[in-house]
Amino acid sequence: MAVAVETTRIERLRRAFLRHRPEICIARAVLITESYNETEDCPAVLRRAHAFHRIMEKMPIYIEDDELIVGNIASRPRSAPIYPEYSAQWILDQMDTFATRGGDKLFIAEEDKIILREVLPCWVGRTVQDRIMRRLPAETKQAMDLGAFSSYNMITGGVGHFIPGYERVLQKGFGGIRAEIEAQLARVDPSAADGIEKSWFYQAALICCDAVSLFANRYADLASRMAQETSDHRRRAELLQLAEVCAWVPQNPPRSFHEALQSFWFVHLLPYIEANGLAVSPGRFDQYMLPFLQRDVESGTLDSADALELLECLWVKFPNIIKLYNNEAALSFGGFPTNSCITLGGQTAEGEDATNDLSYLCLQATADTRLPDPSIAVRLHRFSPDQFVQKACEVIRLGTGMPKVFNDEVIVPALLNRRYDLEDARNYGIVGCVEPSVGGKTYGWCNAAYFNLAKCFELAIHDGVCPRTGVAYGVRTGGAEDLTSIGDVLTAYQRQVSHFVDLLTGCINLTDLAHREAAPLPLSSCLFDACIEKGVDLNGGGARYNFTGPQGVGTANVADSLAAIQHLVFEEHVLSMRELLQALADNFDGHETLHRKMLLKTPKFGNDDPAVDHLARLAGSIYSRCVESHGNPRGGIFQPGLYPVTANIPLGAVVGALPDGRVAGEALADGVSPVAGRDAKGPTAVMKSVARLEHIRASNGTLLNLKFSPSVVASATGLGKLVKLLRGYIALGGWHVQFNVIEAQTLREAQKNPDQYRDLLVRVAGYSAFFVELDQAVQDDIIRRTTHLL
Amino acid sequence: MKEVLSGYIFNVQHFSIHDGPGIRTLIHLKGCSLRCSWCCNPESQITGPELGWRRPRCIACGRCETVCPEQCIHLQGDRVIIDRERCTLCARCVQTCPTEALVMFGTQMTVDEVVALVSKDAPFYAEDGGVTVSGGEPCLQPEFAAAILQRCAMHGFTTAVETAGHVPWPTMEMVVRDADFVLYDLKHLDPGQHRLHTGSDNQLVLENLTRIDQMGKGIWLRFPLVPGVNDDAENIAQLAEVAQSLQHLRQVDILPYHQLGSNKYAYLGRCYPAADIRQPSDEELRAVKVQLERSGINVSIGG
Repeated sequence: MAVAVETTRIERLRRAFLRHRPEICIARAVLITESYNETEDCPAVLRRAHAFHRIMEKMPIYIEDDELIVGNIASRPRSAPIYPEYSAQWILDQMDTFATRGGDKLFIAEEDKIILREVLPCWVGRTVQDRIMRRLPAETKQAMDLGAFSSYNMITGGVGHFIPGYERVLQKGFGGIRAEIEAQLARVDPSAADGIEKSWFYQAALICCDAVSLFANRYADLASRMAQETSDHRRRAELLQLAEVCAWVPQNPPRSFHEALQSFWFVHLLPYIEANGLAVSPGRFDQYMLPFLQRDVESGTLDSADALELLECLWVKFPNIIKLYNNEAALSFGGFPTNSCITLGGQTAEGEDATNDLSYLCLQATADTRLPDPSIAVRLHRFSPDQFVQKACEVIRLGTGMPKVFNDEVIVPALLNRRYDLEDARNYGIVGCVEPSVGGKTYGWCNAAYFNLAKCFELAIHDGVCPRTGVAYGVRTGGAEDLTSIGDVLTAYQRQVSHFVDLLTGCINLTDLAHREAAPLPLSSCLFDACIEKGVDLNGGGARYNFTGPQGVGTANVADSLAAIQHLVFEEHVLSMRELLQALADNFDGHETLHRKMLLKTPKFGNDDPAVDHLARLAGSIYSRCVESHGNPRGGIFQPGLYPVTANIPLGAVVGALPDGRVAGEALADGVSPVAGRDAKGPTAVMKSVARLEHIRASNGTLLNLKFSPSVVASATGLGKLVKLLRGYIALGGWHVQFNVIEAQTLREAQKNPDQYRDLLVRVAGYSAFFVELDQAVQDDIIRRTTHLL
Repeated sequence: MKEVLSGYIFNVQHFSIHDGPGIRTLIHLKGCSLRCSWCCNPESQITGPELGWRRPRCIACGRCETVCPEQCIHLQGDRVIIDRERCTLCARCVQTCPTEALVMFGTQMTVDEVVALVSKDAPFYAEDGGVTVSGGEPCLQPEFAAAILQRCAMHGFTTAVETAGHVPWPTMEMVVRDADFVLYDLKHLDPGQHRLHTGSDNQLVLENLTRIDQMGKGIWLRFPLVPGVNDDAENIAQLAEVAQSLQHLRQVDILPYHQLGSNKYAYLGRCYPAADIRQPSDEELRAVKVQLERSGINVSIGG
């Protein structure tokens, strides 16, 4: 009986969510503008705090039917607030197309547009973006325009990409945090050099704490009001309970699992209201929430079915946090991703297996709700229990692309190499896509930029001159005659990478300083122990661990190109370097035979060929070494990652034909995955090749996408084989792997472009086969079957 | 100097997960003693190398014609015509072909080379994965097959043989001896029907099966379910009887007939003999599974 009731509630909430039309919410834009107009002479950190307080006080709130967990970042479900302090002009320019554009359509009311046209112009010229763009050196702008790197994420928006210290709030409540801040403020010596600045920071933090309790109390009041108004007795009881919960948390430490979940959700919302940084992530939810679950289960007040229902009430809240992307980004980041990532399993701070009952419940909640957020990461290590790996595989098999899998055996040492304490290293969670961070301690600027390795390679074989535009903006590393060995090519590549990494780090540090200056984060800082201890804002370097993480894109293209040059020019002498450059200039027109030879008969990364895998390792590590030698203004260092999200598409558009056979403009390889379709030996070969990269140095994370139809492992024994595949990958030392959903659309795409999908493994009847090698009729049949499955 | 043992292989399949326990590497030896009409690997049947022309990849550039020393390959319109009587399998055309439309099915490999390929996936084998020496009929190259199995066993990989059973017992024993278990094909239980559809009767097949069982090897019976050929209730009942009689049966895999290999007949210039056979429906597969399970047999569809 109880079971039927639960499914209904979650299903109703799920359906209600799916019915909501994504919209723009202008409340935040209006409130922050009002507040800023009143605080012009305030220090930035106090100005931000006052604005945050105003938003928390005035932002419209709501509670939906059936909800047991409440709170949102905007005035309606699935609505995107506006953050004019980061960038404003493009919103004015593009607002009329939000509802009609190709991807991520957002409804915006005509009367709201009128208000935005009044409010936004006062920000133009003063935003974080404007400050940065005015200050960027011409050389840097040129490099960005010509596609050497892109760092617009943090130029146009908030930083995000951290795991708040949820535990601080769960242990002390915001009341406890407030008391700590007051004590610190009382200790500040106003005559000290940094005394004034510290006291400003603490005052701002106190305003934020007050704003938070105000916000929660508004929900408590609303719930009480709604309880009086409803005629449904059951709902009345729920609303009265909600009122009690919201009156208690996050101000105080939770007394029940329900209160802990509500407290968690309030904390999770706050950084998304304060700033529009993406990927603010829950981290190790199954660790810090477990005591509350255990307490209720032991006292008999909660059984695991009720716990699951509450958990799923929370899960369906996540995808309500959406972001307004500009039209260009909306095309490439379709689906309104915020990338809130929950991390499960892994090790305790003492190094023992940390998997617990809640880890399983969370996986179950994801399997039941099947929504795009929260994204789920599982941490595996040598001693992860089989049962947990199996449960993860069961969810993977559902084909949602979740959970993604991470390898403690590589990530913990990588963090130690970045000077984390051992306990902290073992306590990492995943932020965004693949970036390890420690909750309440790391401010990693994880998605700081995308760096075009393929462009650097192109410049390296063209003496620093961009063949597409003719602009000589790279280092003059020598022409075709000067490249007489693969060592020469690698040296030229290294010099180009080094030059552009210098420009990139300068650009990001300038961005970093603009955030410190114009967009302090007093609320988020309350969630970091060290910020409060030191009296320094998160953007000012207050966190315990500070990093900046720019991603290299196109590792496999560089590797395959190096292999092709080595094979065709220096070993087989099929053609000279000059002839090769001519073929590239012609985009292989008139060089069809050579082109096919490049595609089919030169070694490719992703096929378990140690020689070309070694070149891939070099291609990545040359970048990693350049990046890690730089420091940031927050007192931390740069740490490289190797993953593109979807930047491999725009960064590929500006790169001409490459010696690996890639034609001009084509997307670059995705993550550290092989170039699409160039791996032809199945997933074990891909994993071995990828594991050969220097993941430990690419400590901001590397990403492997496997195109692997979950139906390949449909049977019970198939599940066991997926477990073994993952165990093998862990043993080999990969960083991350996720299994892509194969949809009918992908298969149709594969029919049209078989060369790019040579690796696509599908299950047919009792067999697995590479899709593109099947007859058209069989392919059509599989497409029909796939459509039926979904 | 000791002679280097080698043999003909037509395919190496990594990450095979439907042919025996664990993650396996399948080594397909070329050459088969049966000629099943539904065979999905026609390139497996003849022992030596064979030249194939994959029409969908061909751009009719004519380069093959110009390099052929025997002048036995010709371009007619957009078709490549191979005079297979005169072709010496020198492979010049294959090396020249820019699109890999021309392909040599069958490569000669040494035992060392094969074992090196199998070892590549060692990190994924865990306790139950390993090598499966398959065919064609692996027992047609018995020394080669046995050597691969022995060497792989020394690496600690589990070893399996997939056989159709139609070889003299002493040969069969030599290969099976070194396998941890055997994937054993049974095509039809009726001798006449067996002869009709595979070219030979099943007496030897059934005798060898009993002998392997007596050796104590774990057996995975593999039954290709071909509608209109071997899917009648009586045949399934007899299959159940044979399966029940085995002391060391692990499971029966029903392998649904499919047409994935149909295009390969054309590559080899042959006709597809099973063109009018249809694929079994999900209901038919389930019905056979249920019928077998009633006899207490462990059954899997597709392995």
